[in-house]
Amino acid sequence: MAEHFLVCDYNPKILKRIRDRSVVFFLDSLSKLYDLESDARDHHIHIHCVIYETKKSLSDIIYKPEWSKFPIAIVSPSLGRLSSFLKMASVIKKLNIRFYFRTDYENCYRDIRILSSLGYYCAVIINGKTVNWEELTDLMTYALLNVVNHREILPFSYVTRYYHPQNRTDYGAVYFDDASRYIHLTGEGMLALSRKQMNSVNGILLELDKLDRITQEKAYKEYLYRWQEFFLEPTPCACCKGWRICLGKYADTIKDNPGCRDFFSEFLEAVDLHLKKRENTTKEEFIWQP
Amino acid sequence: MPNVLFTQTCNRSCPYCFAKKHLSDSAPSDIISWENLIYLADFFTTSGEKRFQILGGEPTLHPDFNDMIAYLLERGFGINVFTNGIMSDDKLREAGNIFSGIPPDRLSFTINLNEPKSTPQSLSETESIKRFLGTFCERITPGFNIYRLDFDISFIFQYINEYGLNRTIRVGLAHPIAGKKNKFIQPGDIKKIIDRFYSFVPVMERLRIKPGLDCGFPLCRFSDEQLGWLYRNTGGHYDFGCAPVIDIGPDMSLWPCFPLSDFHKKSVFDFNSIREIFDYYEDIHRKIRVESGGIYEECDNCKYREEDLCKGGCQAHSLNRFLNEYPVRMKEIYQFASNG
Ligand code: SF4
Ligand code: SF4
Ligand code: SF4
Repeated sequence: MAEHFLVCDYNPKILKRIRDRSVVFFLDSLSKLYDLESDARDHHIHIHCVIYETKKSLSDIIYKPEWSKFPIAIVSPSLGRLSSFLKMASVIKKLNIRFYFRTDYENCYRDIRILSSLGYYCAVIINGKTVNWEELTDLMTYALLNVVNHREILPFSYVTRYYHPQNRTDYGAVYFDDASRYIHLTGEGMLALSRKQMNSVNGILLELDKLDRITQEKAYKEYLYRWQEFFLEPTPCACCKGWRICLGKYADTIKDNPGCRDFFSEFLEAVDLHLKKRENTTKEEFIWQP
Repeated sequence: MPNVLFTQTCNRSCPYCFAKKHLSDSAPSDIISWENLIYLADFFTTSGEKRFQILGGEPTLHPDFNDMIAYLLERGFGINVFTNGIMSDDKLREAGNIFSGIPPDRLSFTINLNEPKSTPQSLSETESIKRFLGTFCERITPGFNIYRLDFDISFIFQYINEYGLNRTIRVGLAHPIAGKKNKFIQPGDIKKIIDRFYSFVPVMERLRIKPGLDCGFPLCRFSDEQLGWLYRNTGGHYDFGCAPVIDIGPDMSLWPCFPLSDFHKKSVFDFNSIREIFDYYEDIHRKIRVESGGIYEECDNCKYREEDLCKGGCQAHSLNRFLNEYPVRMKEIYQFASNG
C-alpha cells in the first residue's frame, strides 16, 4: 500500500512527530512559507502541498517569485479585478499554484472560466447546498469539451484522468478528502479520516504513532466501503446513473438543491466524449496534482 | 473582422446614429457577459481571427470594460474600440494606467467626434472627450460622420495637433437605417458632400492629415483629381465598398451592419466559423444587388460595378426603397427579424 499523505495545520510543535512524511499543510498566512520551508527541511518532511484559504480576492494577494518552490493551493472567494491580477501575471505564471473557488460564491463559475482560459490551473469546490447545478454543467462542458486550449479545471479533469468505465472514480482527493490517500492530523497528534471527522467528537480514530497500522482498523475499512450503504435502502443515489463518479456526495442536499443527478449524468457523457477526443493526445502536467 | 458590441446603451444621442434603431429595441441592461466574451474569444481563435473591434452603444459603459479589454489583450488579440470618448474619470484614469504599456497597434481607439457647432454637446461632455484624447493620444484615430451638407471638420485638425492623435481621419457617411427615420445623406447629395470634404484638402495637405473613407461612397461621384489625391494619400488602400461588416450583439445575435440590423438576424451559435458568417451575409448582399444594382439608376449597367471597383453605394438605401416603395418585392431578401 502506498503511504498516506498527512493533512494538518502548520504547527511547529507537531513537526518532529511527522518526520519523513509527505504532508499537506494548511497555512493561515503565506508569509509563513519560509518558516515552514526551514522546519520541513530540518525534519525531513516532504511538502506535498500548501493550502491557503483566504477571504481576499486573488487580485488582492501580492504574489512572490520565491513561492515557486512550493506546490500551492489558494482557496479564495473571487478573482477580483482581472486587470490587477494580470499585472502580476509574469510572477504567477511561474508559480506551482492552483486556485480553488467555492460554489458558495455565485461568480465562481465565471472566475474559473476566465482564469482557465488564460492558462491558470483551477478547481471548483462543490458545496451541495450552494451549487448552481446548471452553471456547474456549463463549466464542466467548457472544461472537458471546449476545443480551444485552456488549463484543466478540477475535479473534472481529475475524473477524466482516473476514470474507468466499470469502476468508481472518487474525486475526493482533489479536496484532500479521500482516506485511501489522505489522513488528517489534529494539533494534538490524533488521526481522522477526513477534515470533517477531525472536527467532530466521534471522528478521531487513532493516535499519530499508529498511522502505519491504520489500514487494518475496522473503522478505516468501513469508511472506505461506506458507499455500500447507499444500496441498502432505495435512496435516490441507489438508482443514479452518475453515482460512479459522485458516490453520493450530495445525498444530504439533494432534497433542497436537486439537480445533482442530471449534472452527473451529463458529466459521465462528457467524460466519454472527452476521452474519445483525447485518445491520441497526451496532456502534460506542469504543476502539482492531488 | 466582425464588431462585437459590449453594450446596447449609449450616453449620447447623435442625430445620425446608425445604432439608434438597434439600441431602442434593446434593453439597456443588455451587456456582454464574460461567458459570451470567452466564447467569442475562442470562436475568433478557431476562426483564425486575431483582432477584436469593440462597439456599443458606448462600449466603455460596460462595468467590466477595462477588465474585458485586459482579458482580450492577455489572450493575444489586437483591439480597436469605437467610442465617443465620454468615460467616467475613474474608469479613464484606471484605463490609462492599465494600458499604458501596451503598444498602440495592439490597442487603439476610433473616437467618433461631433462638430461642436452643428451638434452641440455639454461642457462636461467636451471636457470628458478632451481628457480621453489626452489619455490615449496617438492610439486614437478621429472619426467623423457626415449627416449634413454644411459639415466642418476643421475642429478635428485642432484636436489632432493638440493631442497628437493619429493623422488619419476616418470619414463616414450617415446611411439610412432600414425601417427607421434617422438623419442621413441622400444619394443625390453625395457629390456635394465629397466636394465639401475636398475643400478641406489644402489644410489637410499642409497638416499632413490623411483621409480614411468608410463604406458606401460611390466611385462615380469623385472627380479624377479627387481620386488621384485619394490614391496618393492612402497608397491605394480604399475601396468603394458595401460588404457585410458583421456586428455581434451582447446576446450573440448577428446582423450584417447597423443600418441592416434587423436584416436576416442570426446567432453566432448558428455558425462554426467567422468565414461561414461572412459567406452567409455576402450571399444575401449579392441577392440584393441582383435586384437593385445600387443607389443610382446608372448602377445597373455600370462597368465599375461589373469590374467590382464600386459596389453601388450603401445597400441600406436600396433596402429602404424595397420596404417603402415595393413592399411585395423580394420577400426572401428583406426577410426581417420577426419572420426569420
Ligand atoms: S448525483 Fe445525487 S443522486 Fe446521484 S449519487 Fe450523487 S448525490 Fe446521489
Ligand atoms: S456602381 Fe453606381 S455608384 Fe458605383 S460607380 Fe457605378 S454608378 Fe456610381
Ligand atoms: S449597407 Fe453597406 S454601405 Fe451601408 S452601412 Fe452597411 S456595409 Fe456600409
